[in-house]
Amino acid sequence: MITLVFILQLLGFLCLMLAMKKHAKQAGNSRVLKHVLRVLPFSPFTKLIGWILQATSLYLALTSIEITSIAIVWWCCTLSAALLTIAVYFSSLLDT
Amino acid sequence: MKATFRKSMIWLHTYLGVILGWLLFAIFFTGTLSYFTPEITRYLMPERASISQSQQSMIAHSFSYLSKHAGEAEQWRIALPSERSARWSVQWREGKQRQTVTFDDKFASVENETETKGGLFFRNFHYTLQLRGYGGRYIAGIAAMAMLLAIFTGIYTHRRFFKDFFTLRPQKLKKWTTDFHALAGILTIPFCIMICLSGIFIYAIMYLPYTANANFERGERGVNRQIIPSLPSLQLEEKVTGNDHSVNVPRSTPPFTPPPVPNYAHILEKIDDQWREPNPIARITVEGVGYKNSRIILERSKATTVSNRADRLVFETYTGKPLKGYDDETVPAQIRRILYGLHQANFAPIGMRWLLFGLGILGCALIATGNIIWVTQRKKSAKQNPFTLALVEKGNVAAIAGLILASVSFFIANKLIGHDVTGRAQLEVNTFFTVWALSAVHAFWRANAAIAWKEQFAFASALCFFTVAIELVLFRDRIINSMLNVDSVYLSFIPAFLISGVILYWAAKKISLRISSEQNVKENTETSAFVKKGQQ
Repeated sequence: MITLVFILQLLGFLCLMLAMKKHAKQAGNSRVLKHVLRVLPFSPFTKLIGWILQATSLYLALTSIEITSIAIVWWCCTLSAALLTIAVYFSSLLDT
Repeated sequence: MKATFRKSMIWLHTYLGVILGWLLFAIFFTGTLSYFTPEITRYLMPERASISQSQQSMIAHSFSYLSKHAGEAEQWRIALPSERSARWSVQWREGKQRQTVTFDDKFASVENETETKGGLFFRNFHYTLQLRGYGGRYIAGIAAMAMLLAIFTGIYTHRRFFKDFFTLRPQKLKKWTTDFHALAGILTIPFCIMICLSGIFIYAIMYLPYTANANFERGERGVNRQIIPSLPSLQLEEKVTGNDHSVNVPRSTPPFTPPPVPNYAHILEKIDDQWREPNPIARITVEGVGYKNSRIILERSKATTVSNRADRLVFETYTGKPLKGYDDETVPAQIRRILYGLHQANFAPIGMRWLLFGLGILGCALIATGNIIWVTQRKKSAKQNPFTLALVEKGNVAAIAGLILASVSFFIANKLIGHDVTGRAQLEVNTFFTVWALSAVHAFWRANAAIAWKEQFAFASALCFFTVAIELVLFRDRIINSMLNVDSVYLSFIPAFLISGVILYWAAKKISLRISSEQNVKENTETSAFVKKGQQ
């Protein structure tokens, strides 16, 4: 379940990134993201999807882990990991 | 005073980092290793193999052992093993003397345990700086407060961090370092705030003694007494007789009669309904052994709570009747315990523990890059005092690469010092500090700091591979046994050292490439200047 939380956070950050002009340019260097950019709706809506995905991941963590405080710590840890993954991925796109 | 508030914040951020950076790195690095304190201890003690016995059988054996060997003791304590520590021991107290016996998986008592500080060395260094009684905890507390300040001033310094956030420019090392510092800073904001704040809270009363002394009779102890609930003291009067308990043990004739075994089976049945996780008991204490009103306290494992105080249940020892137990903790005590628990992360399952470890390493990288940025920026400035610059530049090598070297040396010392050498635990510690001091000498001796960085990283990498080699050659039987028993805790140290070795080698290689490219640029400039002179 934690893996699912992590994936949702990853997708949420991806949406938030693609909604930002500066990073959308970088995303153009990736073939996959280029297609994703074509499909994605206008920026505010993409942002909204990003935030909804983050909220969903939190909801999932809270409902799937019995002890709430531990669920929150899990969520914060995976959030950092997702953010780092996205940052490193987008940085790698700067080169290509 | 600087012209603007932002400039003042930048100044504060910079100098807090430069002045306390080395200390903070040492605290963060050893703290990060401390996430694996019991695992490190287990790795450093070959006799600590995993224990696969059920809790019930371990409790039965512990009580029968204590009854035989510690019948006259006032208190018994049984520490049951967790997957992390694999330490199963019994302890008893007679007057002021305490005795401890450790057992292995085959119910045999372990003789001649390896003398080592184990993971506790890193943990104690983390908050005492090996200066307990000499102000070490105060220094660590000041460092934590400075770190908090540095975090907040850092947030103010990098105003555009959400815009700049996802940019790591790998082609230019200086820019990459600045980008990475910002990225690590943002990623670790919640983690660093939690760690520093909880670290301060653990010793809050020690840091603010005046309030405690002014309002409580015995100062710090008085506060603890007031906020931490305890059980009423036992009035031991009447000894238990054969008919008072449900589990009878054959009794010998006077003068010595071993006390009966507590009614643990009945108690275990009762707690099965309340604590449903596997292996829920961490510790059992019996107070007033052999007396009618003796009580037994069962402490739950910390896997189910963020707090560092797990649930405790109290029963009558020989009837198994539940007693009132501890009162609920006061709110201040609960806050302190939760912060303490968050800091230690004893609740964290292995996946979360690795994530926290990763965040700790990122925190270390944040501090290290901050200090490196200061040096690279000051190198450009003609105003900078060359002595200060050299001091910080070479001090960075000793504080960062030197500490990594010293830590790996600690592990190697443990593996190579003979089992029977007296004072081997202290020898391990001495090795750590000697290597650290030598790394400082090396850093200051080398004219070019970049070469010192390269050499120390390369040496640390070689030591990591050497640790694996020692393990494979000298501890082959342990590896085979661990593979047969699927002892993942011990086995995971081998890949961990291999990966650390590869990362350190990669860092040394990068620095080496940079040194040679800088030399090429220098040579080219000199040649073109020489050619120009010739043409003139």
